[in-house]
Amino acid sequence: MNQKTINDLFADWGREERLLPARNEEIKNKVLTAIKNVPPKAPRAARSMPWTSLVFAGLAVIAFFFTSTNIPEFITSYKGTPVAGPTTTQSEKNIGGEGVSAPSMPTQMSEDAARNYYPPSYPTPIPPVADTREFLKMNYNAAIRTRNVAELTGRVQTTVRGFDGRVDAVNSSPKSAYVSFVIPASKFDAFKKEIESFANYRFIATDVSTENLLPQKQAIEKQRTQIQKSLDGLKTERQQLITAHNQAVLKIQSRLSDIAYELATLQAEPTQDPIQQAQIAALIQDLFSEQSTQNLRLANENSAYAKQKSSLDTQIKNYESSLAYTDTQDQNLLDTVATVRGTITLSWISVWEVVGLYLPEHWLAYLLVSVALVTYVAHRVRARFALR
Amino acid sequence: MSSNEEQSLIRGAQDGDREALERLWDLLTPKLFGYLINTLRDRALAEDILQATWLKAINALPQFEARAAGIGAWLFAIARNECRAHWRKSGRETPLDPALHDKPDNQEAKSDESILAEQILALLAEDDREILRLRYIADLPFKNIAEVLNINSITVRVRASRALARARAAYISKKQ
Repeated sequence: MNQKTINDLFADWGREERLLPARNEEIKNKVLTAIKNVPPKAPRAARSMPWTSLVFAGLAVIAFFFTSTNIPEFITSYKGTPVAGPTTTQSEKNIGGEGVSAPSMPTQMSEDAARNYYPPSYPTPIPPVADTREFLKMNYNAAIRTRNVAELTGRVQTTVRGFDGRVDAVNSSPKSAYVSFVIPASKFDAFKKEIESFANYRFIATDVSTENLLPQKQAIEKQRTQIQKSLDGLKTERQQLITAHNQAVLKIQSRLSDIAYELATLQAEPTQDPIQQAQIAALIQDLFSEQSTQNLRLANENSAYAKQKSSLDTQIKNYESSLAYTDTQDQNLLDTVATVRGTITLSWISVWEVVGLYLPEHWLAYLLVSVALVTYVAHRVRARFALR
Repeated sequence: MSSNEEQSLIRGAQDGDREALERLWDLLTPKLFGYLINTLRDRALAEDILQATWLKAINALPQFEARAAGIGAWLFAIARNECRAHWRKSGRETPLDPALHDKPDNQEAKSDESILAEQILALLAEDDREILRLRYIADLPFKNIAEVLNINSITVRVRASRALARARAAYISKKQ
């Protein structure tokens, strides 16, 4: 017997089982009579809308958009002076807070920027990969939310000094504070850990940016090399000038000596012969003439020498100044690498904001959606076709 | 009975139209009574339950709104509840097992196939019998059976298919 056959069997069976009761008319009359006592059906009410659910759903949408567009910046990070050259930025953003606005940065930043100026190199060359030196300039920024701004500001300053750092600027008010500082790079990691222990991760946001100043270092080194080369050239030229001058002067003076000797000899010549005397006078005249010429040459030589030497000395002095300045730049760069500049902003947080930090984003919207769903399900259950 | 005709008769009955109600009675009572007889195995009791079911339906008729299920499913659900109430009162939680109790009257009027069907049913579990009663005696579609049993229609289809398969297997094992 297959499935279809058994289906037919039961279909036939079902038809046979249908029958009227023996007291059909009696029961039927009872039932038909009962209909008189039943009040007529009330006009069908319009299917009710789940107004409660719609209201909660609408509130959820409003809450969602409100919380999406009303989140101010938690931290504004200070990146330091933009310097030409490749940048290796290792940014560690640990943003736990929202709904917070950090106090605006003071003008101290522009002065710091001026202090950190390095001559840009145009065009910006990328150091070859063979040069693996790192001169990392580090900047650190942190924003802390706290219920006690003044106390924490004091702790920050103490911590900076405790790590052999220096506090450069402090702005403090009951609701916000700002501390600018420098600390040795060698103590930065420990300092950072200490600062982050001041508050739960939800209340603190940190940003560390590093920049390799290798291009600047290379530019300084190149500049120094060029200056040194020029300086050496100038010194050599000076020496050559002195040597040439001395030789020239010696030569002229030697000739002048010869002329003086010849003059002395001719003037001491004992002759009464007028013709010889005339010849001697002519020779003497020639010698005087040559003597004048040589003296003039000597004067010119000395003058030219003085001028050239002065020029060379001036150039040498200038280049030596440039060299000293380049050395200063180099030292500044090394000092910068050895120092971490940082800022910490503190702002007061309300209890409501604390709660908000612990709750997920859009929590209010989720709660309202849940309530809307629950009320809708309840509405559907009530409005469902009742069989019982 | 088409859906439109049913809706028209229901509206008439709700408005107090005796003829509409009489028409509904004529259409539904044979199936309902046949179902009750097969469930209760007691003719007098089946008549009492039938009357109680219709009277309850009449009282609740003004509030009745047929949406997914029709008035037939509604009546059968009331009838099932009446049967359960009776069993609770009599201290039973399950219907009588037809294999153990007397068969109702008019057995001799039944065809061989009907007798065979009943013998097969006697070998099945009560849940299977219930599904088959609602499907073949009450002639309810699966979605209406789902409303009566308060389960979803896919489950009804699966159970009905399995019930038929078990019926077939029971028949084969009986023959052996």
